Amino acid sequence: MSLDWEKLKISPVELDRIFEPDLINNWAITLGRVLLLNLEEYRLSLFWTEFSLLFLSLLFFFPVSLIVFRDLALLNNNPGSFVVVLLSALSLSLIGLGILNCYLWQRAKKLKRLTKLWQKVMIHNKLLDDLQLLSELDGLSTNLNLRIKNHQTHLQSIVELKSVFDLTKNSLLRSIELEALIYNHQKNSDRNSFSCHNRYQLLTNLENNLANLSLLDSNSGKEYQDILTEAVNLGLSIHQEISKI
Amino acid sequence: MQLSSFDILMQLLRNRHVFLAEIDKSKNIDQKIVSLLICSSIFLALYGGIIGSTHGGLQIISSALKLPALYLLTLLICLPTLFFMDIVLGSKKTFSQYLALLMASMTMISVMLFGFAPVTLFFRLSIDDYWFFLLLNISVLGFTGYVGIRFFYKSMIDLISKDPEGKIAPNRLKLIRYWLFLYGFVGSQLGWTLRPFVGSPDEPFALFREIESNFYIQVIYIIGKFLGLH
Repeated sequence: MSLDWEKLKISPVELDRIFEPDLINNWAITLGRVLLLNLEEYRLSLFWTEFSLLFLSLLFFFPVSLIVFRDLALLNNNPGSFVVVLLSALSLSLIGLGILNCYLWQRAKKLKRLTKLWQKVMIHNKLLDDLQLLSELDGLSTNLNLRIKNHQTHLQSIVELKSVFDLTKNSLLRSIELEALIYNHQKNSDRNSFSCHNRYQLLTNLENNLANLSLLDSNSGKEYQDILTEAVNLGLSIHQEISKI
Repeated sequence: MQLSSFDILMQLLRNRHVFLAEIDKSKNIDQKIVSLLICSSIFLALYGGIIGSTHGGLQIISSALKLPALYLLTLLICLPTLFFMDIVLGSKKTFSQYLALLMASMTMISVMLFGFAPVTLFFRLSIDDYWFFLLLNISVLGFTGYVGIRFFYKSMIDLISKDPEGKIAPNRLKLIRYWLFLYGFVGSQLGWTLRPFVGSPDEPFALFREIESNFYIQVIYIIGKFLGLH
């Protein structure tokens, strides 16, 4: 039995259909990933974003400073004047960047849960990549007797894993959808009470399904068992996130 | 889905129809604008640094900042004219769409300048003739500017033809052509105002020169100097 693990992945298109962050939200999410969630792998991305914004604002403020200083007759045509203009442009750029970062920080705090859920999407897709690799390695096994012996347990593993990943995918998509709805209508108190009901419903369904899955006793190989455990743990962590809301 | 700045640049260079279709639908337009702004600024700064290297450290930094600023300021000065005039003539496009198209043409210019950078650097290192180097850069900037403007013109035609009306009003075509002429004129004169980009070997470093004459008379003067007529 072959299974297309790609179909269980959560694609960017599916995510965009639910919530497509604009440019400011993207920057806020990057900031949140580094400063709120302490994800080291995004530090370089944040650095380049900040550096690019500083560079762009410097490009804007430099000629403006040059023209203003020149019109006010505050410039002599020497290297010292260049340094003055450059420093004033840099100062204005840093002030502008500081103000922008304060605004992004406020946004990042509001988007914290969404950011966490997106991280879980990445973990979910990564687990599926590992699973796909494992399936391909198993397929390459040339020992025919071993393949026949493993066939039944292999099928059982795949069915269990499919259930877990199906559940995780649906839970993640529903959670992101709910969180996006809450974010977009944060000031509307009527909608908040509606969203509380949905959260409770989602939480209850997730809890029941995870409880059933954790009782599964798999006779599959160690690698599949490890991935199954990781997938169940991922589902449990999503459950924890939703319960915090 | 977030694309990196260089992904968007690659999409512009290799998949232009998809890129323009997305601008028409205003898909991820703010990300496109910022990404193209970053890419074009980096390439223009690199080229600016090369042309400023004739005069050493401070001129390199000065030209690296001035060249991208030149293109950006020209865009900022001329864009409102195009937007409001086109609105008066019946355009349904948003300001962001115009800005995205202009950023795309500015990026094309910057990519071509980046492509010319090794040639410019070669002549910078192998020939010690200030007037020749100046003329070379004016030619390169003029050629890349023409190609960028042509790209913008064709993209605007393509975008306008997708409007519900279907056909392009003759007045709008005329407006775009006159505006492109204005863009080139403003850009060249702003370049003259922000000079020097290539430091003169006979003079010390200068952040700016006195405003005198104009760009076109100076080009004739440079050609004359190069041919040994002065």
